[in-house]
Amino acid sequence: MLGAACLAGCAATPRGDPHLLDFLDGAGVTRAAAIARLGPAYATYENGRVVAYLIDSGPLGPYVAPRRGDWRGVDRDLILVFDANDMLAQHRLIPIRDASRTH
Amino acid sequence: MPAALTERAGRCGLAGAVLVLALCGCIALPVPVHQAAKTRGGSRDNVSADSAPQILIGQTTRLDLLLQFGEPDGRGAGDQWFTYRTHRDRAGWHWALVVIGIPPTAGGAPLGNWQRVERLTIRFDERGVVAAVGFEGRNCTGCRNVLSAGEAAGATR
Repeated sequence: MLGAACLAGCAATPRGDPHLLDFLDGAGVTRAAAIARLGPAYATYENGRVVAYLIDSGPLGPYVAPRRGDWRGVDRDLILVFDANDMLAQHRLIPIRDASRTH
Repeated sequence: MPAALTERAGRCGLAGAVLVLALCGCIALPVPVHQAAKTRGGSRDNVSADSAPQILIGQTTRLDLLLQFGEPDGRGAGDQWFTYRTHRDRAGWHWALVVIGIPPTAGGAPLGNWQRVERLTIRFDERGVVAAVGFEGRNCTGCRNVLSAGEAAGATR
């Protein structure tokens, strides 16, 4: 009974957070803060200076999409560039696929 | 009429009848594919043939590409090269073969090339600056492994 109630609750939980990425526009964002907010990066480049996250749009806003072999279930790619002190130096949210299409 | 000629005519007639029976359920139909056709499956939308001129040899860096197009679909050892791939429907009219059989069943298959795959390959020098850009595209149906096997082989510009 309790399990069924939990499952029902999970199924009804809408995905997304309208404020998920707001912290990126603040000052002094560290690598640790980014990982704490977004989780482990999907991929890294330039000796770890650049990290990437897959982002999709849910009913409530963006969320970090799970890793797959292609771009299904992803509409944007978040690229974060850190400096030598692990402070966020630059970020960009790049449209990869039309957000209106079905996954 | 000689018997041999009659027999030959009979064989031709039988072969013709079999051929007609085999083909009578096959119809080739034109199918419109909308002009706004999107990329297929898990393909990205944000890279095309128009992207290549934006990449400048000796100037554009690997970081520039990451910030402009996002992550690549393929990357070489030590990020010596990136590839960006798209797979989309070709807009316009295409032909399909529709087969109607007995008992009532139906099937179909595309005729000609309904899709297009494209791949942009960028090679970098040791500083992470673009050293070569290549673009390869092909019309196809099904489109599995239709581009050259070597991921970085197309970097020729």
